[in-house]
Amino acid sequence: MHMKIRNIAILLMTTTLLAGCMDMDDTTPPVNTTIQLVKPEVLSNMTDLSGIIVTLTSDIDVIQATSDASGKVELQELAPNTYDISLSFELSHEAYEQYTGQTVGGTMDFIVTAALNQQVITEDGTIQLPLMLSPKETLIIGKVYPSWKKVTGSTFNTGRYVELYNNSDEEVDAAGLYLGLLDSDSSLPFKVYPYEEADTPDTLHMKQVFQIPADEPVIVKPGGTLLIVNSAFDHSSQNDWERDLSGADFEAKDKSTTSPMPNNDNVPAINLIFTTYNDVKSPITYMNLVQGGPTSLVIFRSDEDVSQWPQVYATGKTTGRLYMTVPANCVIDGVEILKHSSKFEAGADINAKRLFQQNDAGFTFVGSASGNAGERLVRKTVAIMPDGRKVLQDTNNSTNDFICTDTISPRNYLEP
Amino acid sequence: MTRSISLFYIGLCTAAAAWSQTQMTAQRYMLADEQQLWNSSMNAAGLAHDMADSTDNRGVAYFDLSHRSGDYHRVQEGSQLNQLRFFTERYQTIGKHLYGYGSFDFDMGRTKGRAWSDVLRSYDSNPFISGSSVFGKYDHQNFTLKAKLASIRLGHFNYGAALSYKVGDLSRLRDPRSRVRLTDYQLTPSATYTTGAHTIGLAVWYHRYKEKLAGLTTVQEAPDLKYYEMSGLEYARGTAGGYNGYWREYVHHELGTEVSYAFKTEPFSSVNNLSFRRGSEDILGQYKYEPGHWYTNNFGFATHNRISQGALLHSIDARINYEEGYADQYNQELITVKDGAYTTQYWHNKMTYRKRYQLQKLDADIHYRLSFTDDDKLAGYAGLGYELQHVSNKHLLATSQLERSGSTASVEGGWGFFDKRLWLKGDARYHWHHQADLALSNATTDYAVNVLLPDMNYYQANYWQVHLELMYQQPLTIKGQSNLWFAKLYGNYLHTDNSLCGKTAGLTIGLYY
Repeated sequence: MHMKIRNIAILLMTTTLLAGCMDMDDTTPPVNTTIQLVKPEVLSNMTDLSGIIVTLTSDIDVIQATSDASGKVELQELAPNTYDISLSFELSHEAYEQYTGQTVGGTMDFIVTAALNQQVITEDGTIQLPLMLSPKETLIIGKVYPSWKKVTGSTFNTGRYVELYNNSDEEVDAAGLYLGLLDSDSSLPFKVYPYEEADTPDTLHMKQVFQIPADEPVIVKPGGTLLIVNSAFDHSSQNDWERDLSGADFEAKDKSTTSPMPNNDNVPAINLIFTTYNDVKSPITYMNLVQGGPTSLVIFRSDEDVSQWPQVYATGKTTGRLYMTVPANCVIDGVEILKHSSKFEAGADINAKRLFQQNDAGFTFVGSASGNAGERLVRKTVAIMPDGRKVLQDTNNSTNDFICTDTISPRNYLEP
Repeated sequence: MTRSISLFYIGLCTAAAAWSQTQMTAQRYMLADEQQLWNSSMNAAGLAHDMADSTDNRGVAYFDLSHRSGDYHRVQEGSQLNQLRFFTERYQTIGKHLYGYGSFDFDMGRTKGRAWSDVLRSYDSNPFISGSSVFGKYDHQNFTLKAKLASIRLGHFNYGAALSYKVGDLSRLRDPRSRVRLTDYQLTPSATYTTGAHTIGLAVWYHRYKEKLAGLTTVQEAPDLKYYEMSGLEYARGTAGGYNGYWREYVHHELGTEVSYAFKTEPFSSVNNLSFRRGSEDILGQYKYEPGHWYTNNFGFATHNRISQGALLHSIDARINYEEGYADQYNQELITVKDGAYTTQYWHNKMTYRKRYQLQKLDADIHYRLSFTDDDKLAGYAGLGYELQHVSNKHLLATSQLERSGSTASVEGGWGFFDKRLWLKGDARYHWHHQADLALSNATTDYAVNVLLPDMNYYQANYWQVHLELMYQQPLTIKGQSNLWFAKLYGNYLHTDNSLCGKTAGLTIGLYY
């Protein structure tokens, strides 16, 4: 009987022990992925695609790989993840003529870009990455200060500005240039992303449009800047994050009759062409840069009377705010600034994009979710020319081109 | 004068000796603890086996005030702890058919210099924790209630049940201010079957652990203050202002079973326990966001043996515990669906990383103690011990690993002087670290630089440690109720070969009843 008890005890203990060990090898395996670069038809003479660097960015890693002559990029032992895939390289006008068989008719260079955002790679396979060719812009958006610094006892938020930069080695006349601020509603009024599901393909929707006066030349020298502010005063005494904006080139005048923002009569106005905030007493006539975002913006040119361009309500609505429509193909440069949220691996919800791939293949954001950390978005510097001119990064992808900082001052840029 | 003191001392000793014959004392309590082998088991029915041999109902209650400081600590543990604890327990025969045990444990304290973890389990557990990089103070309070009931022998069987209930609170006192609330309970029915000298026992239990972190606030304006969400080893995502609206809930369900075998003859008694636990933990965020899921297995074996040899009692205990766990990590996206005036948001799981974070932990120890007894009292003891630990934390895709192991040898001793009214106890131990390897795929992340790499000083240390305590017992009558009160002073000093140290000092005041 006693032996039986002991045997039962041993049996129960053994059964318990064998109840189950974990199989620690049953893990998600890495994947082997091929990225096939797909060149546009216009580059029919470009037979060698070797040496193009493709960047894959995930929440934990940045991976770079190089293409072979056929445009294949082999990625072995890749961690399954959601990746932003991008590339960019420049084509000189000579190379453009060689690859396309067409004549540029000048010295304008081109840029080739590609971007696939939030690409989920979970198994072996091939991804097609179409290349896009566009002229290399000379005047670009160099810096945006949509934020402000929240300091105890102070809510100073009049120091916001936008800065344009001449990234070329020639003077540029900015007269007549338009600055457009895209809608910033928390509830997306127009779906843009995924691009193939966009509500209105190739059309952007502005909440405000400004124009640099066209009556006289506005020359921006190579490496020069054009500072457009809401209040052109020296704000540096407010706190450590505000700067002296008294030397701004243009000011967006506040025409509100209730507590208007202080404006400097010595600084010329940037003309307001359209604002969706047109309340009679308190119209928003200054640049409505939204702290924390979304606050995407573009610069564009057109010979048409822009003020007559169609204005529409949000998709599916017949009342509410009106937005001015702007063709995406007239945009010179755009920066997609979304609202930062830790809910998203990429730092923001890509589905909230306002710009198409040809305007900005990526997006950027200020680090503070509430947008009150005094942060500004500034374009990276890739080189300094012998004459001291800084060349800023312009790959048509603000994810790669911009960084967030709280220290940079107007008209200054980072070291390479 | 000297003669007066001697007479007073003799009188005191005589009174105390007379007291110790009839009432509960430390020496009787300690010996009972040493002899009650089922205490180490999850099996509440075993309480009947322990208490059937003794007619003593016994209890203890005390307040304990302690202070810990020094630089031998990990980043997420804090540099200093001040703690006040109240503990009471009682073994009690209830009527003619039941044996009972109950305890209440309350502790409150303040930890200083802690960062990178706002949760209760910072190490070797669920990797999806969160915290601030700014060092601050944390206050904690815990209430733990335990109750066991066991029946007398009914045929060959004893039946029992145990309930453990704990609520806790951990609050950060610096921006961003977090508060964690804990609810933890376990219900364990059990039974034993006895025939002759042999007893077999079975206990099963359900354990639920819920830890909720919500309502982070700031007092001062610091919008660039980052809040970090960790996902295993160096992988942590810091977001400025990320504490706004942040909340996390950890709900752990565990089922366990323990099989026991006991053997008891006059000189020899033994209780052996083999246990298995399996746990599954949900981690939930806003809109039922799930960063992952945590699974655990735990295997344990313990043997407790006592050999009586006249006035000597040999205790031979050994224990081995192996825990393995893994976390599936989810890659989710927030989907917003508009339907007329209604907007619905939910998280869609794009992919699952199976077993991306893995934990393996082995603890083993063996302990021998020789107790010198005087009738039903403990006169003194001496002992030896050896402990071994091996822990592996692994993150896959990309692969990173923290692997550490070490062992500790100890000697201990204690003796009661002046008719056992004054107890001097001590132990000394030496710890060898055998392995402390940190291989990170990215050693430049904030978490790696500020937590994992600094913690290596802790893991790579060999140290010696001395613990001493002095306890004095005195019968006191308060409002006609006589009890044996005691006061205990204790201290602990630890010094490592890489010049770190740890110090603990404490005072305990209580009574046996």
